[in-house]
Amino acid sequence: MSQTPGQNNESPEMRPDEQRDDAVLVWLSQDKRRTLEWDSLDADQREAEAAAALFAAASTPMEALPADLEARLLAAAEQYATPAPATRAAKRPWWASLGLAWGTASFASFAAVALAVRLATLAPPPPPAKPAGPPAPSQLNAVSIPIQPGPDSTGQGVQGEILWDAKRGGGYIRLTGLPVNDPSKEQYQLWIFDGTRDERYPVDGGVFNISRNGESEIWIRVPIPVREAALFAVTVEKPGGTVVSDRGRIVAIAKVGT
Amino acid sequence: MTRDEIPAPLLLRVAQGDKAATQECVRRFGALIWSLALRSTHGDRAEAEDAVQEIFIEVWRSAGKYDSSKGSESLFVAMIARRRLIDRFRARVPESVALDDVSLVSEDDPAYSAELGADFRVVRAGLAQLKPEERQVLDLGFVRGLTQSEIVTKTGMPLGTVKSHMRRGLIRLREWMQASGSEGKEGMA
Repeated sequence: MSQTPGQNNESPEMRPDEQRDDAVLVWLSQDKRRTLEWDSLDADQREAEAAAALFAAASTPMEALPADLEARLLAAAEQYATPAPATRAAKRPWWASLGLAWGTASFASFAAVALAVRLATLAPPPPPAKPAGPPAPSQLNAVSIPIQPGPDSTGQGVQGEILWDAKRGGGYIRLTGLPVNDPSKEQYQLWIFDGTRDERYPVDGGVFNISRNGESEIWIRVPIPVREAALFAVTVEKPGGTVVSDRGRIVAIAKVGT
Repeated sequence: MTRDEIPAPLLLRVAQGDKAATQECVRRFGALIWSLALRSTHGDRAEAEDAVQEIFIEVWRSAGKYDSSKGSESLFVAMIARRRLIDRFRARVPESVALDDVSLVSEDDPAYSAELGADFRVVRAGLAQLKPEERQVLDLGFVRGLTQSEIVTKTGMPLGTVKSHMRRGLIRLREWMQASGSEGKEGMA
């Protein structure tokens, strides 16, 4: 090593291999992505990632996975590997929408929600005779919840409202100011936070597109009952929506009671 | 198919939608991911449970990206877990870090040792060769995700020292990985 402890600056005589190691170590600490983009890693980066992970694991005392957590994960694994038939455009297992990391809390409700997902995937009883398609907004017994722009700049001009019929457990999202999206690149996804459930697991309200400027009015369909809608959020996600939102792009928020 | 006879890498089968393999992932990597999460949360089990769920979802989704020529499946899983945990608990790094915070790990239950593989065992044994301040820097950098400047602030070490420790650590880890021949080896018979 050419570096002398106590020096605050890099030695100008660093060997090329030292400079290379230094560069990849700087990259490792400054690259803040939460997921690895495996295909884009070069050999040095992959090796550094592996070395860091190896150090982390080797320096960590191992403890057995708690039995109750293991049981829940096994149930989740089973559902992951056998997705329910899609009833919306997004082809994803219903259970997967429960895995959002919106906050921190215990895992306790996962099993209950997973059961709710299972029940939701069973064929629902036929609705009473009524016209096909969603009810018109005027037919809803709905409250209006104003939509505010979210922290992502894409939503800075967004305005609108959620029309939510609590008894029906559905409603409409009406908004303007959200940019037209290219569905082959990204889609908007609606999330509904149920006040009676763990806030980490909002209900997936589905993906949608904005295909023209002006007002858009979209019927909200949910895979599991929403007992007490507390907050709605719209994020930007990859085509088809996401299993686990990274919350990186929240473009709109509507909080019940505002 | 028995648990002792796996015709293809587990992650490959997960990527192919094999339900049994997806569940086997939980059994095989559960302790590793849980232990890493528990460390990142400083023992907050509720937070750790949440993180473990997230990580498994990503492991299943990324399973098709596993390349056996580039390391063991446990290492692949640890790489995913490390990134997720750093992102999730970045704000949790304690204000000050004592040198004895990164203690050496005593021998594990042989069951874990077998699951983790030769690369982990070689590195675990090699950690004793590092000085405490080197382990501390590597913990802050590799486990907590701090930048070198942040490590300087937390430890009071000069930047040059931090860089030196990290480079030396990377070199050692590289040597241990090569010595263990970690490519494609998963567990011991």
